[in-house]
Amino acid sequence: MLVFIGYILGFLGVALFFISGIGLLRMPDTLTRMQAATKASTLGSLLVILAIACFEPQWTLKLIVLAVFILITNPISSSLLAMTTYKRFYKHVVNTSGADALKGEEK
Amino acid sequence: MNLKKVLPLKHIVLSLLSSALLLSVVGLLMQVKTDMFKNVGTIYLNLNMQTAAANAVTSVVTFFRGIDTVGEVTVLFLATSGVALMLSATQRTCDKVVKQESFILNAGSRLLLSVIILFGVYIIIHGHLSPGGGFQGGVVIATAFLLLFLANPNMKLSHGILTLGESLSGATYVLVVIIGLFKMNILLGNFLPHPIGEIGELISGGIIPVVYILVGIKVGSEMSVIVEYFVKEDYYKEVCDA
Amino acid sequence: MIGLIILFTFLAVIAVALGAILSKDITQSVMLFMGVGLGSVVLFFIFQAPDVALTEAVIGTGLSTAVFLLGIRHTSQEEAES
Repeated sequence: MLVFIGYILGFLGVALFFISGIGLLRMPDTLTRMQAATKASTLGSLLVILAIACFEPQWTLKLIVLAVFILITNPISSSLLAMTTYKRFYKHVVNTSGADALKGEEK
Repeated sequence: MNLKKVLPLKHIVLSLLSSALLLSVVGLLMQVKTDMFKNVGTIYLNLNMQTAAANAVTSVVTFFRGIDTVGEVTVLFLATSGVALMLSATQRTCDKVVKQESFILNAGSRLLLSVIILFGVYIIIHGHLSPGGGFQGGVVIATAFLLLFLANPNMKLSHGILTLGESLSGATYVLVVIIGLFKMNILLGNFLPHPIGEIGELISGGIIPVVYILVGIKVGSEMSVIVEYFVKEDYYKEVCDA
Repeated sequence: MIGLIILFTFLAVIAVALGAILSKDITQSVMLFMGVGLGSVVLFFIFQAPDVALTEAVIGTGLSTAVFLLGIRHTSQEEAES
């Protein structure tokens, strides 16, 4: 039973990786591409880790550590990439309120 | 950014053809009798039982070819001295404060620093049991400091402690080599007790974990200093020359 | 199965290396070079050299990319000034 759940979770994770790959190729510019790549691959890798935990239940502790590491590092790197892209290419784009959206970040 | 521009069809076809060629060469090599390649590996694997280190590569690197490791450590020391000599002259004159990077990177780097250093220490200490060792673990520790410096270039490493640790570990390594010469009549003789029954335990293998811990301290401090100089040179050039 | 993985990793490494050579943007070239390092980590691991794989993962993918990027940043500033 556990193995069956593991197969389903693994298939979902790999499907999400596939979708993120398609998004990386099809999306028009950097920010949307990043959205496709980071969101889908974070969820995908978490699902794959869950699937491995279903296959080998004695590895669960190590896999939890791995999942926490992915959950910490992935948002940091994606936020940095997005901020750098914004500062380099989208600085001149003014949003509807007329203010710089990242004004609070730059001290 | 455009994949079609970077990788036109011509290059993809070329890469496919060349990889097919390479794979056929590899396949032809596989046909050769493997007995002629077995000699060195099997001899080392049989010799590995004497050193009582679970990882055979470790006993080759620190024991059978230990003098090479001494030479590598010397090369790394010379490289660090060169980098420090070249880059410290420009940095001593400037004391301005550099703007630190975003809050998210700062918080994240502080969160991850201890974890990465712990992982490096694990790799160093378990060098004779699992893949890895002094050099790899030292570089992992240096990448932790790279993250710290990228987040906040104003951070300062205590060069006194680093110099002390680096020179003490280097001197102790040479001392271990010479003690082996006096007690066992060969350079890097394994003079600590290393019974074969203890293979696979944390304290086993005689001097091999000692040597790896010394190499780890030395490589970690040297690479941290190199990383610090490289990152700070870049930021200080931006601020001080403006 | 393992032969198929080896084949695809070889193909990917060769393709990424060609991209690194042929690309005009130097930052992109460094990133593709990091991809070569990643592929060779997988290959080293499959060919039962985990020590070499660990070294390549730390140095080839981590430190050398950072040093390359810092160098690019440094030299591009000098080019912009002159």
